[in-house]
Amino acid sequence: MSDNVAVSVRDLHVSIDKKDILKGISIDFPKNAVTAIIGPSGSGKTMLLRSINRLIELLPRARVSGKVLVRIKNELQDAYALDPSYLRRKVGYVFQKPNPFPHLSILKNMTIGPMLNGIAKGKENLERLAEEKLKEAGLWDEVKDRLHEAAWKLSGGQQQRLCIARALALQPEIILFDEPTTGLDLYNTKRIEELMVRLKEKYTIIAVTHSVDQAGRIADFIAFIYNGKLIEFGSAASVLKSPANELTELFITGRVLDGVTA
Amino acid sequence: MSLKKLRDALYTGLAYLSLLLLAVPLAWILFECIVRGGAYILSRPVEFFTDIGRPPGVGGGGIGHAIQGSLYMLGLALLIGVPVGMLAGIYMAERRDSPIAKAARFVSDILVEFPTILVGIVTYAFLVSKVTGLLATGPAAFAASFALAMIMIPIVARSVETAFLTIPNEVREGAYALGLLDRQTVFRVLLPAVRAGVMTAVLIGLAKIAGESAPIIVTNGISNFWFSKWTEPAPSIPVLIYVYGLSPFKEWQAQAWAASLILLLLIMGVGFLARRFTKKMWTGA
Ligand SMILES: Nc1ncnc2c1ncn2[C@@H]1O[C@H](COP(=O)(O)OP(=O)(O)O)[C@@H](O)[C@H]1O
Ligand SMILES: [Mg+2]
Repeated sequence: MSDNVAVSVRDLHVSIDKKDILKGISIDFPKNAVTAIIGPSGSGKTMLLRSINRLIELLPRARVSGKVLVRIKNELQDAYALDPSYLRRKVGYVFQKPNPFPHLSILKNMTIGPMLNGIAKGKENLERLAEEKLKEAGLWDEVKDRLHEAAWKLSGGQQQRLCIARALALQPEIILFDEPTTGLDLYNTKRIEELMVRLKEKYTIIAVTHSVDQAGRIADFIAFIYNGKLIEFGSAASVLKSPANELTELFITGRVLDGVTA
Repeated sequence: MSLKKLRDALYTGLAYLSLLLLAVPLAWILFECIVRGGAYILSRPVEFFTDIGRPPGVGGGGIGHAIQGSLYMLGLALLIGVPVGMLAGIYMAERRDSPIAKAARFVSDILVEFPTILVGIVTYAFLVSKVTGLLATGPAAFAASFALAMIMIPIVARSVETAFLTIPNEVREGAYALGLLDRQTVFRVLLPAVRAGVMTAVLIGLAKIAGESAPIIVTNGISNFWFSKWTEPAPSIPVLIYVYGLSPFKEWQAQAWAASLILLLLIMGVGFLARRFTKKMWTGA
């Protein structure tokens, strides 16, 4: 398989309580690029993302079949054969709703992952790593004087950037974003969009968004998911300018209603 | 006056009445304990807490042995009850749909309602009965602790479960997404989030067992001596109150009131602490 593929999903099926959620999705996500996953809500974008880092296994009733390969240390590896803890470190996840550990300090939010995973040892190293990653996420200047305050005191946008920094601290190679700017103000939305674009230099970015405009701003590639199926995948320019599928066209021009089945 | 106003007034009146019904007995009991027991404590402020009881007619003495015995018994009960109750509660919250969690919930709901004397009898039969006892052949302090732990466990478990259920699921998912293991998620992320709630759960459990006498009498019997061995009967404050209070001797009755005052203050103190923790409970972001 091409060296350029960071995540390869092969014939992925997901069902919950016998209800088919993903119905055979195959897609190769290119390395060091931003791929946006778009589609109406309920079409299975979140479940696709969660199948990649196996967060879906937190739902005991979910059944997954098919194959997910992830490039770690420059080698494509079967995600479902890896230790899930290791997989999730290497494949970071940023949630739709900012979810820092609200009761822990900003600093502790940064260090708890690396500490418990043994990525850095000792207060000094952990704090250096925290600083480095907060800088990488563009949050350092805003929080450097309040590192010991509880994370819930941050604004929603800052919380989300803290969550990104927290994922970066685990030295991932791929980062999954699930509609990370939902409910955030324009300023924070813009900063997170810029951040995703900047991060693709070092990481592979896969970002679910329900905003076609956002996909246009950040994405190199776009995957359109509808009703549990991959309808179209291609470079952002081609998908947005000349979609091959009629459904894609309907969606990007705002004419597919959420939840309507094809 | 409109019907609605009348109804409002009626409800307000009823609310005050029920408050009165609650407050009056409490105030009355406290008053009796202070008046009848306070005098005895004041007459021997040190001796009362450090000395052992005296036979009737001799005069003087204290409840030091019962305080010591209660500390031992409650200590062991906490040592068993807190970890077991906490783990059960955490399991019920974190694996809420599993058959084991469901069974645990069912069992704790029954145990909470179980008459405490029956818990004592069952404990006695299993652990220390001459015929069927597994660990000893007669009343023993450790059996009392075990019975008290059994009474405490479902209370702690259910309260801990409730505390964990207040944690938004996103927090859990966040922990797992960082590659944390189950136990790291539970003990390093979730537990600190509900520390206050867990403290409250433990204090409520403690308040519940601190005043129990029946399960102690059934499992441990009655002792008027200092605590000696876990396999022997030990004294305790509630049992002392029971024995002294029912005795015909004036000085024992006075000491029963005094001991009641101490027990009441202790339990109220624990309840007060529990409320402070409840207020401090993390309210989410
Ligand atoms: N926890 C769950 N239990 C059962 N069904 C779920 C659960 N989460 C999502 N689903 C279902 O899976 C489908 C896809 O959901 P999701 O991946 O969240 O969609 P999207 O992210 O595209 O909005 C939806 O039909 C939704 O109802
Ligand atoms: Mg979603």
